[in-house]
Amino acid sequence: MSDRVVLHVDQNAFYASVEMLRRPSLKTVPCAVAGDPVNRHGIVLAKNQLAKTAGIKTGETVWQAKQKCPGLVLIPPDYKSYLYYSRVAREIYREYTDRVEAFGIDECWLDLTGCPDRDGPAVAEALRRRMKAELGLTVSVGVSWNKIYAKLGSDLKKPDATTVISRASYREQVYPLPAGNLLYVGRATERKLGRFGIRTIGQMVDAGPDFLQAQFGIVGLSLFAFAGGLDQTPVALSGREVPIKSVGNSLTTRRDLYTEQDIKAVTYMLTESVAGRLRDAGMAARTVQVSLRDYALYNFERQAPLPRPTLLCSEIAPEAFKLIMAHFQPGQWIRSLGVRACNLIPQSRLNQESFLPDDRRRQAVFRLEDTIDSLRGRYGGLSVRRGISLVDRSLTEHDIKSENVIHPVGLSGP
Amino acid sequence: MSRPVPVTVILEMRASGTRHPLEIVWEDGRRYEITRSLYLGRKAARSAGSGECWLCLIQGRHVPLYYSPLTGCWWMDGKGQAEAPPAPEAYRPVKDRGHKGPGS
Repeated sequence: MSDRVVLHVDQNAFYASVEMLRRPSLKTVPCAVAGDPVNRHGIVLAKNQLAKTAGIKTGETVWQAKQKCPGLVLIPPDYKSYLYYSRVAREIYREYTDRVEAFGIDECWLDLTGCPDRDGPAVAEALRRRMKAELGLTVSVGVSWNKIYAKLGSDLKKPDATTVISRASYREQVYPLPAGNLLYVGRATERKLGRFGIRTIGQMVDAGPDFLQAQFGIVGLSLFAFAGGLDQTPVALSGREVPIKSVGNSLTTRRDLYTEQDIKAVTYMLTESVAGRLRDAGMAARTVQVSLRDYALYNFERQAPLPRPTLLCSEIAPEAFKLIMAHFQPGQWIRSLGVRACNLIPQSRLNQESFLPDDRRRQAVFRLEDTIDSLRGRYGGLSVRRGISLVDRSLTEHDIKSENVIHPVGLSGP
Repeated sequence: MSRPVPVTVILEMRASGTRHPLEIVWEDGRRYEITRSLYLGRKAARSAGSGECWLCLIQGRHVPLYYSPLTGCWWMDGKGQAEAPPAPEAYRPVKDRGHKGPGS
């Protein structure tokens, strides 16, 4: 049987490239797409080549970046455009194969096995050329026989390059690379490997599956397979729906929350979005989970069962608020708050007509929230608001639901 | 050097679903008739942005006309200097993005 042909396409400095595409003058200055420091979302999300040369790293705070490069131009992110360019890029990929699996907004795996165009390097060249001519964006492509090496390849040469890792050459290309380059070898795993003198991917293979399993458990076997190019994970068919397991929203607020009223306002605002998204997905939640981060960046999560499965904000929010207040220490200042609905069941299992007064009231609330959803869909998320959100507009002036962006799903699935 | 010039377009929407630009209004108000146009599909503009592109015959010259499905804006490549890059300290929240480029 012939080998698989897997491509990994990575759009270079995606957010920054989109910004430079529409304002080419940005190419002449170091620039970075970053969140708003006033709203305390101030981290660097993407940077251009000049900023990279100045030592700016993705994920660092705006003030750190400004210290390294005082002339850095900061641009607020515009997710609507990024999603548009990401969607058009996938349309191009789908002209070559139906197996296009997204890994975040700017990366995709393509499986060309069995397709009319299955010459990996030729398709990679065509993709690079077309992306530049049609979208004005550059991509780097890795070509190999498995997803892990394809991803590794696309990271090797940037920007606008193709790297082929073949069975004939992978030992010379892959084995000398640092173990940390491999997908799923993070800082902690790299440190642990380092303790045994394992610093390269080749040394991981030499260590053998038994040794890695003894150190890392079942994950060790996966790491061995990843390092040796034995990974068999298929590239998912595009459009395949991954079943939703939970719906959540979180927010780092503009200022710390310390009064009950502040916390209540933000909890309700987040729950409104969560409940709206639950209704869109046709799911009901049986458990509510809250996550808190205080000003010292201490994190914790708590969860509690809901009295009965629900998709109503007016039922989830009080439970979430109760849960927060039960674990909130007076004097603690909350920096970031999250509400999540999990343990989901399909809405169809809820709809049992009943003549009990309580259930009829519930159905009325459902119709009310459904109507508010459609008003918001038409006139914007802030067109209908709860009274409590007016207590401090600086905290609640967010349209959480429409600003919601779902971020990458892990390789091994959610 | 080229800069994006937003233009107003008089368009014919045919029953077949295709669009045919007939006339453009330049930024200074001058109107130009499009003698013939050819739809080229997606294309990156020389000035800025990318979108759907028509190659138009205007006064005997072939010039590209772009449309952004993202913003609904039309633009062409104009002569001249591109806008200056923004000053380093200008961080504008999303609500009042200053630029009105083709992709904004």
